[in-house]
Amino acid sequence: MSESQPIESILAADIGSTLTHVCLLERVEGVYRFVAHAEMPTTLGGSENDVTIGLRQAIQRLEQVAQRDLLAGEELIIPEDEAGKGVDGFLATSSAAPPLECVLVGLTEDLSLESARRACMASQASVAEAIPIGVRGRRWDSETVSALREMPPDVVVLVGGIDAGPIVPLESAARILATIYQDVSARDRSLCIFAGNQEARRSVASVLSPVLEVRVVDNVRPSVGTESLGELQRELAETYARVKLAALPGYRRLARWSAPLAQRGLVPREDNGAQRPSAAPLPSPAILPTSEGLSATLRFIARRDGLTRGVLGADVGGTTTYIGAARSEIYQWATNASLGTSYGIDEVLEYSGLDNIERWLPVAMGREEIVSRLENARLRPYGVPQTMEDLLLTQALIRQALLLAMRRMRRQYWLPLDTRPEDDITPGFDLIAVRGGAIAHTPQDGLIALTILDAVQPTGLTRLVIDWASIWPQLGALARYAPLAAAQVLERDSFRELGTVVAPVGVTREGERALDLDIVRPDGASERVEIPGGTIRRFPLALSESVTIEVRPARHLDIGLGRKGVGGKAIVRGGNLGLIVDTRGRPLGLPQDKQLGRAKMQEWLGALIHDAHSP
Amino acid sequence: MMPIARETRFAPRAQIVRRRLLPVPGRVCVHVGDRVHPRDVVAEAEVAGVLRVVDVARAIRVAPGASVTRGTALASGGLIPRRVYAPCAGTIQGIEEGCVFIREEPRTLSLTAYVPGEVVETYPHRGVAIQATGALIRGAWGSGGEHEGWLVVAAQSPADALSWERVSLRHRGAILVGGMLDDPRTLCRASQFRLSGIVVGSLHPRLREACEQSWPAVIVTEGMGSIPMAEPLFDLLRSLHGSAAVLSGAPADNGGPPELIVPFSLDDEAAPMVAPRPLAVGVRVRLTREPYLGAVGQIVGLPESPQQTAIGTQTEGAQVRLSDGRKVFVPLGNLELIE
Repeated sequence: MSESQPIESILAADIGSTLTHVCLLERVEGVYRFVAHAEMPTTLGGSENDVTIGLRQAIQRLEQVAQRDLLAGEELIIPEDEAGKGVDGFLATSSAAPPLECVLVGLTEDLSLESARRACMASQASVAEAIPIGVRGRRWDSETVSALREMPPDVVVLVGGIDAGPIVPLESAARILATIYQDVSARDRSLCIFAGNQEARRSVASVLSPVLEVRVVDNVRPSVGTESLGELQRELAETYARVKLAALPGYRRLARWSAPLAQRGLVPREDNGAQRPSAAPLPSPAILPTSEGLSATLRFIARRDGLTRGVLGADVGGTTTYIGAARSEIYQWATNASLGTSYGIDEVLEYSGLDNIERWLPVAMGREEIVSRLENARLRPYGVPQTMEDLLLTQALIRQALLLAMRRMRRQYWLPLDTRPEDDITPGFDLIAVRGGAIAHTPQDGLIALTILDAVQPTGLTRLVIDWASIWPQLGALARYAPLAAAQVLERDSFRELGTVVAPVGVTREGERALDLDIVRPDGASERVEIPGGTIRRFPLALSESVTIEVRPARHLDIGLGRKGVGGKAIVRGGNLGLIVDTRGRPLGLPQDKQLGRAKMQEWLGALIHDAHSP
Repeated sequence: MMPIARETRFAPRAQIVRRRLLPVPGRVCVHVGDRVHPRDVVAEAEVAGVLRVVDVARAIRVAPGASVTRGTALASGGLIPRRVYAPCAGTIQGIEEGCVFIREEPRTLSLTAYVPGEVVETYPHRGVAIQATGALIRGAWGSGGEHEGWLVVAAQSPADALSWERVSLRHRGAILVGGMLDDPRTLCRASQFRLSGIVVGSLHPRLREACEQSWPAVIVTEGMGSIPMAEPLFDLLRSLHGSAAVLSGAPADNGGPPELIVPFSLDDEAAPMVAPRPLAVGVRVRLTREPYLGAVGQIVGLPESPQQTAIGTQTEGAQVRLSDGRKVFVPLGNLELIE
């Protein structure tokens, strides 16, 4: 493969905390296509503490599926040889590294520390300790200091003070941190990110820089009523990639394998070999964070399709749940480290409580049985549900992880901090794109759709798609080097389209009319149906079919137009499930009575799995 | 179909190598060829003393860099004259905001052999590798540190719960084996009588936290709930009743699962513990997910292509003959190699 030749084949890997996915992409008749996929458990920890072991096992499996040699011994064949062995390029994304461990030091518990905590929760970071240093809350006790010194965190985040406020407490905190870390060797030094009063930047940095690596970012609380987390989040994300991903065992081999594609990326080319005019050097880390790859894909989809209301993406992994929202040029995201369906079960349980997991089950299950099943799923994260009870429990877990992540997202970006529960509603998006190992392994689309409806609670008119091949993050990474290839694969092969959802906002009552729906098919045939509140209805509509729908909601409901009782027309496309109308109301309320709740869950699930409505 | 490599969950006789490494550079105290016992120190290092803080809102009488002994007056004065004394010997590392930071004297960190065996490799300044021959049982979950003791099988069958009446003073220092653990009183007694450890098939999930906080190390071989111990494993432990053993409830040095090792004589011949091994027709496996959780069987087929499970998931897997004669399809992720 010379520099001027187009890339014929690419191996794109995503190394998750539980599973490693590999996808083979090839140029077929001038167009890049997805060819094959394989997955194997990620090998991290234990005697096989090297992510490339699991990666090679996945590639070996891919060799069988694609009937093509890719490995020579332990090494990947790059570039593809004349006999068609190997690939021209390799790239990887990963979320397998543990989150950044952060200690927060701030002036006030309910202002600066709370903001810093929110920034960490939205990043690939976990908060080990928060130390308020305001006069009343000073916590430089021996236990805290000893823990800081004996087990230095990856990052110390120092926050506090509004811009132009007093700087003395921050300088004092900086001196104390300098005292604590003064005899730590350079190799073991933590990073300190200062995100406090801008006036204190210079003095804090001068005190800390001899003993810690210091980065300065925007104040998270520039004024009492303002919160600015973006800079701190970006710095944490960059640190995660630099510190944690680069420390993954096997990183060097990954760097070697990805070098050829990264080198081509230094001079980005169109896929016909033409050099692009602005050939600025691109960063070429061996592994891109999965969240970064996914965010590139979501942004691309929003731009490509001109989605005015944007695209909402959710990635529910074994350890991390990531939410990203791309709307015009704005991208908002929240990474919820330690919230997931295998290693992240503990945190889902801690923040949700067992009752909130149990409420999503359409079958009766004892509390002890639920806990035992969840504990065993955590102990053996590679396991695949084999019974309907296990599958339903996994879906309940996904719902809670998504609910928690969505709530954080709404609080951080879309709603005021003092939003009343009845106003805690997801804004409208044109597309909701969901991925994750547990999602991809769910055998029924109806089950996935109900999980998304329950947890994300889309409003208005929305399309639902899933990443069936676990490829979206890799395509985001690929777009840096071969944007056309990424776009072609994304367009043709990467979506499983579940269908279009209509969901009005407001409180609905069972039995009372929620909306009238007219469906007009291209041949002129039409259907009219009145849909009561508290239900889910499914209307079969193939992916290749488009119909015009007209929705007239009840006077107290809004179908996403921002006004109650106002109807509208739209052309919608089908999918595996067709058109789904969810009149359960937003925010979604579940019956308090457990037995009734189970009956409703069965009814809703039945509507999506079995019954298609025929008027 | 490609053979999928898996770690063995237990081996009746194997060569086991454990690396013992210091967290910071230090001194290795043994040589290649030395024979060591579990409590022998194989390496040691000097680590910085604990940093202590004394809050003194009074006239400070010491300066950074000064050495203090326990009881040295750090500060005195104020409206009501009162002195504050050093709680430990050490060096004043700094004085900030009315707080005196005292660095305690350095201390020595000693690393023991843990497993009895022969030193086969040394890593300068870091530690050693010790080779032993013995039976190895890897747990699914564990708590507690490294301990040694005599193995006492206190259950009649793999499903036998380890009741509190079976724990007595005569088990002091022992490693007790039972089928299941679901009674908090058993843990209390084990702690009271200073048992070295408990090995059970399953643990009631409500006892997880208590185990993490109580004295004896606990190893769970199958999982949480009421799952009998795998029969071949129970039979192995019963055959080793009365033997000296070591166990580690926390993940081993390499981040591996918690483990129980019953060492044999070093002169015993044993095959090296090769991990991982491929799944193949004929090997015995443990099933780790409902509806077969805890069952043991033998692989009788490895289909070339993904198969459908009872709930419709397409996945790669194996045909397994269970001990009751049934032949079932099990996803690869739900299988563990047991010996």
